[in-house]
Amino acid sequence: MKVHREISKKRYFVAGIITILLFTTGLLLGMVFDYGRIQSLETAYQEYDLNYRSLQLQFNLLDTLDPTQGCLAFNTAISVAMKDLSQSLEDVETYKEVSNSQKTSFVNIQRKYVLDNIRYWAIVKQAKKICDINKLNILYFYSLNDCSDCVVQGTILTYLKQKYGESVLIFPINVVLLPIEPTIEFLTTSYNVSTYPTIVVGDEVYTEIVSKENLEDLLCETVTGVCEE
Amino acid sequence: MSPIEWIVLGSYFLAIYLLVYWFLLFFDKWDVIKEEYSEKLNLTSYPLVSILVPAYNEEKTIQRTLQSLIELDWPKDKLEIIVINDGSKDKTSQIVKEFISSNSSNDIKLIEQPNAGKGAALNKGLSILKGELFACLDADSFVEPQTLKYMAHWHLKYSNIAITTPIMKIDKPKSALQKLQRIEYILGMFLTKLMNYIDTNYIAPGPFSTYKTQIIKDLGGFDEHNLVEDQEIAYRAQQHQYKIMQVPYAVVHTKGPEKFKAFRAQRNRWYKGTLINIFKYKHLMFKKAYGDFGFFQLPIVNILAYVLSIIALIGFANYTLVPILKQIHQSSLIGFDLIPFFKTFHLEFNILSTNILFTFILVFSFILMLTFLYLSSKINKDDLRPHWIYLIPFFLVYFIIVAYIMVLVMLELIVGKKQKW
Repeated sequence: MKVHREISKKRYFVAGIITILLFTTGLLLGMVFDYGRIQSLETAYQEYDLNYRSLQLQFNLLDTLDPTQGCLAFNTAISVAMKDLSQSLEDVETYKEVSNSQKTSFVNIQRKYVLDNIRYWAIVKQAKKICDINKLNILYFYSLNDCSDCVVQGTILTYLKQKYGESVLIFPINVVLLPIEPTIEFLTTSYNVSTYPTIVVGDEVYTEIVSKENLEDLLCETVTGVCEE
Repeated sequence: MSPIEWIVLGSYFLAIYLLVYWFLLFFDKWDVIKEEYSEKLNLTSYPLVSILVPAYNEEKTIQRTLQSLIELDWPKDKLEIIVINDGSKDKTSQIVKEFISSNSSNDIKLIEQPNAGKGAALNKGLSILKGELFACLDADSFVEPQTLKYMAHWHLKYSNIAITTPIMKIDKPKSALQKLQRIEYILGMFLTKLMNYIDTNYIAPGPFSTYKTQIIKDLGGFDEHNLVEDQEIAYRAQQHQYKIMQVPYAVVHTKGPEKFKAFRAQRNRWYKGTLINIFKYKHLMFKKAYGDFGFFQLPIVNILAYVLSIIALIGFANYTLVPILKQIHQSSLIGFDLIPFFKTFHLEFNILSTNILFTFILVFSFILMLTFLYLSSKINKDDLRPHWIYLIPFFLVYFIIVAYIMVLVMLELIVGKKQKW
């Protein structure tokens, strides 16, 4: 007697349904997480907005109060605010990357954060006219699309930030947002930026990759007390 | 999502589908499994059994192999052992002769032949053996005393069983590679058991698969030109609508390759042979007469393994290799000065930064595989606990090594590279 064979159609079908249900669960969980991501970024943004208002007010008060004490407080406040902002900006990029839906919502949040970065950069630039802001501030234009040099420059800037901490303020501007955010266009036009990466230090524009050594030289020239060892 | 992400997600879907299918099968057949495992041995008579031991350069293990055979719980006058020395260049022949003379109460024969391959050696044995049943035992494997009784019990119970296969365990694993193979065998034995219930077994492993002599003779014996003759004979048995059954408690211990070179050579032969046999028996695919074997095992499970191996390698390159290389490149940009990085580094896990769909699917498949491993080690009494730490490299590295060899095999077949044994 030979084997009587069957095709277990019912089992194939049930396995298919269960697999689809599993994937649907995964997708739904992804949506729930996207909601959580957006909420967390929005909450953080509200805090940065408040920080910015506080910083703006401190800046306005610089004229009316003792500039020495005011500048000292301003210096500390800007460092704290920027530290959190750069972390959140990284989160926005990561969240957008891992999200399977809601890409548009992330683009809008990304835009808010870039605007915040520009606001901070502007206020530091203005404050430099009144206070001795002992920091190297770098406006960094980069693109995440097909820009291998941006990876190189980004690595060097991250290294600089890790090594010198609060003495370096980096304001990253993702130019992918350029078509939808006129402020970025305003800045790129003002500094005549057409290739990426480009960094702006003070009023100097560097359109080529700036090496670790050159950036450290710039830091030593601009910021006192960090290169004395 | 990028095209690679879509491909990886698609492969996850297929892999999960298979895992879910096996799981459903397990639940469907749970009662049958329990019944099989609790069945009492009921041998009213002992048929004559011949055991073929093809040997090529097996001086290190042949004595232990033969010792395990004479210790089988089976009447000596009903057991015929035939060693076929396939042109060994070492002392295999001498060791066997000495073993025969020191165990003269056992029926052990030594046949010498010029090196012609395992298939030819088995056919030589098949042509002279007298047993109603016969078993093959690779000369690097050792059988437990009760195994033959279990094998014979099921053979005698069902006339449509052509081949019974054992539960293989890696013998005394020492190297990390052997311990990883041990885990693989535990998992593999569970899946093979499940294949029983949809009649899709496609391998009669070298270590102590047992055959009904007349059926194998009717099928024309072993294919002497096949890289994996133990698989080919199983395909042929399937083609002729015979049953292949993995027998509960029929344990055989086998030596797994200790070093990577030997492992790669072994797997290269297996995976190449599997592909060749899939091609040879492609006419069984999608034929209603072959049921799940034709619709599921051949086209989906067997072929999919190769497709998934390509995707696994792409995924590995994309998600592991490229990021590591990028990291090295980026470190070179800062003159490998990693001190600032470590000074500012803090370990932080943010669940929101994970791709939850991928993570969910990955965790789910991981849990299913662990469950299979647990069930298999329970059913086959193969304690996994001493080597549990190897589960980590098993899931993270071993699959990639296997995928790498599979892809290599496909490339070799495409460029027509000649196979060495």
